[in-house]
Amino acid sequence: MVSNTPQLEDAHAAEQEAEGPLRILCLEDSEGDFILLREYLRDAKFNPTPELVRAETMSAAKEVIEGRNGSDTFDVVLLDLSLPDSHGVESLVTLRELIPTTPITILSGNADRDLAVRMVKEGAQDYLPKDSLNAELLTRSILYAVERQRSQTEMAELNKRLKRATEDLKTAQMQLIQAEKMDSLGRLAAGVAHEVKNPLATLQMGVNYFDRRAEELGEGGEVMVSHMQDAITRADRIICGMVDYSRSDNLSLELKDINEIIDVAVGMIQHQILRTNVEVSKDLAAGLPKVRVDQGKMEQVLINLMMNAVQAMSENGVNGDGSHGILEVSTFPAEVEEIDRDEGIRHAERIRARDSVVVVEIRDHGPGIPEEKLNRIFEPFYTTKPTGEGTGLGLSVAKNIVDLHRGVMQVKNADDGKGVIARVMLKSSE
Amino acid sequence: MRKKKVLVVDDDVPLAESMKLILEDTGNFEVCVETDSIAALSTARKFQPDVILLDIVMPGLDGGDVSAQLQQDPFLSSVPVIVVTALVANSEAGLDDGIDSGGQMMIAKPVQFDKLLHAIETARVAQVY
Ligand SMILES: Nc1ncnc2c1ncn2[C@@H]1O[C@H](COP(=O)(O)OP(=O)(O)OP(=O)(O)O)[C@@H](O)[C@H]1O
Ligand SMILES: [Mg+2]
Repeated sequence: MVSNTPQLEDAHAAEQEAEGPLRILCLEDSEGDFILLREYLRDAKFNPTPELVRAETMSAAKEVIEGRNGSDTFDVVLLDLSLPDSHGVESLVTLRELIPTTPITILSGNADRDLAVRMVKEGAQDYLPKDSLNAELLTRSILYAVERQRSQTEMAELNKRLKRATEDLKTAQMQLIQAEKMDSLGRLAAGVAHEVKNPLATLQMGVNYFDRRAEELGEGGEVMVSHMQDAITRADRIICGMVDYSRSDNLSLELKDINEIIDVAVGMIQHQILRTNVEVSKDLAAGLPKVRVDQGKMEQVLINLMMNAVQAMSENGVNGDGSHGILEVSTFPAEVEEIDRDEGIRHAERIRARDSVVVVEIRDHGPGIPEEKLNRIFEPFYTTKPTGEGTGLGLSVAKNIVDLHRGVMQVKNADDGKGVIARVMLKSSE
Repeated sequence: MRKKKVLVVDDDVPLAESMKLILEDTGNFEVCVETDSIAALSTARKFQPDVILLDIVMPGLDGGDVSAQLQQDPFLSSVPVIVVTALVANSEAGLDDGIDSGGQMMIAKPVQFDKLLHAIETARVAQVY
């Protein structure tokens, strides 16, 4: 049962802010005690007059609170220790759940003093002895409770901000360390590349020299020369991949339509697509916001992902019987809900929850990636492809580039277990 | 037909010599190798090449320095220079056709011989703006 107390007229005593009247919920089953309390409140001369809502039982209180919908519905709760349907600490716990930030003041009889004290230890703001209650005590207790709660909320808020700032600082620091690592790795890679490419160039000249004399070589010699040619090409590819991977180059960012970049990238692997009999199905959203990207680098990301998809479908023999493997490429705008901690933490300034992003999704219908391998695929040089075919740098390079764009890249198995979904999320720039 | 004169400036001796070998093997070129970049200018003055293949990373003077010296020489400034370098990959934007956006012809090591030939045949002086 709930009863609204008639508002009291005229009063200008207590310091009340211009926020409107204090809202007080009083859980009290005893009619007499409630009337007394109401009298005291009237005498306390709050300005403006408080809104006093009474609930005789816990379930009635629940109804009121839920009816008001939202946790910030009362400024203070006055709680009688024994209600018909709830008692003591139990009441406190129930109320905490319903209205976690509203201060609760216990109304106790002399006999329950020990329990009242215990409840203050459990998180009640204060306790008031009913027998010796008066207007002044009540006023003071209510104001203190509200004030204390307010500063606690502020503290919690400050604390939260502090934590966030600390976290940002940590990620920034990690980013810096990462950048520095990449930087020295980049220089090392460039140095190694230079030293290896010169001898490779000599070998290349040699191979071409013998190639020009194919007739004199005989069959064995010709095969040998072609193996040497493959070896050179392979070594060069690995070296270039390594340089790409470690490069911490500045990006030349421009505002671009991701759909156009996809078209270019698809065009660049047209040859492989035709050869493997894979069919490309594009579903690109119209009117997407632009993204700030380095076009050449982003093309490379998409090519690496699409090549993996194409290779997954042809290796699997999906189209061995002439049926087509379908490579689905789609784009759509989205709002980020949540990012895996692992992905969010590594780079400050990264995509955060509620950012608007543009998503590119590349999906194949190949065999997928065994769960136990999923955490290895981004490792440089990790490959399951035959020696000479995969360098294992495709995904590491792609992820690096997406990282540099402060985007997020995910590669996972499709929910239906058929194939892989690779996703690149970039922050929208509009 | 007069043989085309190619000057190879590269500190990597085996590479420079194998380029000479294979180019001369075609019968169409006369090749001079200079593996010391400091001597590149005087060698070029003596040899009077039609085309210069120039490495970038070299001890002493690097490719950029040599190129600048050549540019200031009244006779050599009109000789096309092809930069042959291990610093870039062919896949890097604009280099696939052997010409970069600045007008300077550039080839990535390791280079296929037919690409090298093509570059030499189409070599022209870089446009400096
Ligand atoms: N779409 C996919 N379907 C199944 N497996 C995949 C897919 N994409 C990646 N993988 C697995 O992840 C591994 C690593 O991929 P990554 O692109 O880094 O290297 P790679 O494709 O093996 O070599 P490279 O890209 O250098 O040619 C692959 O060898 C493969 O096992
Ligand atoms: Mg790959």
